[in-house]
Amino acid sequence: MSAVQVQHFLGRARDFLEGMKFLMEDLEQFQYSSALLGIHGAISYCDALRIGLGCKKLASDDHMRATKDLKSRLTSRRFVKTQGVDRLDRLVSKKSRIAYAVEASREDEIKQIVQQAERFAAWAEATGKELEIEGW
Amino acid sequence: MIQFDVQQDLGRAKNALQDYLIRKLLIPKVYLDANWNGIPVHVLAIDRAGVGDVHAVLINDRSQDDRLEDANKIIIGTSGMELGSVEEFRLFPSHYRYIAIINDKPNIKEYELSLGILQKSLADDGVGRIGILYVDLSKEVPAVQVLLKPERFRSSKEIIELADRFVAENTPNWEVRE
Repeated sequence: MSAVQVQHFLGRARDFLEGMKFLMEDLEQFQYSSALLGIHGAISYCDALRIGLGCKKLASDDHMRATKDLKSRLTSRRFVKTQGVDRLDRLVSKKSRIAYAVEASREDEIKQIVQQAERFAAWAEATGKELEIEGW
Repeated sequence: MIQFDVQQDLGRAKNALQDYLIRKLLIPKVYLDANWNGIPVHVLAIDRAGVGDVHAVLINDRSQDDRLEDANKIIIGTSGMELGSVEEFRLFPSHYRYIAIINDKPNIKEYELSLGILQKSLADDGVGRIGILYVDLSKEVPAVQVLLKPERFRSSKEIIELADRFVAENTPNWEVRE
């Protein structure tokens, strides 16, 4: 069952990232959409990893708790390359600002979010494979 | 128009194909002039940070073909070399395979695929088709056009083991670093 769930979240993550990439072609026009898709892609990768590492139930909105949970699951597997979790923390902390804040975001901030989302995705893909998560 | 030598044409085409694969794939690792299981490959990309499908591109250079000076239409897959490349590529260990035709003659307006190349591009069992790309070097910025959309070949333990070993032993020319 967990392999199916892993594939479900993995599919979402890759889909969001593809969307981010598509909109990045016109970053001036779609800056908030591409940044938000990048953040959501990272959250879905996190969900796929957590499910694959034995988490039974994902809370829908507490993303900060999710990153802590991911780190603890990786640590309990003695997996030391946890730099991706710190990156995820930074991405998640930007979610509300990108989605709701009244003040405009700077272009370099948006570019940084997109770049961080890509780097997080690269880490998550490699991590899922290295940990031989079922369904990855 | 500035004339480039064969080596420079080939280099520009590799860069253009690399850009094409970066756009098409999700955070791939891309290698130029890769030695893939003893076979030289001009551009090799492994999707999803090096853990996904393997895409291999072989370049067929038509820039030196003087017969194209006055032609405004190319029929791809009439030369023995092109058909031979496709034939050899059918047994190549990768999920996606592409033959890229490069050309720097600005007068070419139309491209057509021969029946021979259309038949030979398909796997015997129908699972997989070699893609044909056209790299136009006559423009200021080289453009890649898909003439025949590739279809995925069967995966195998051999391809996956080759990819794992290759990623561990080689430095990509382009990647998103973790």
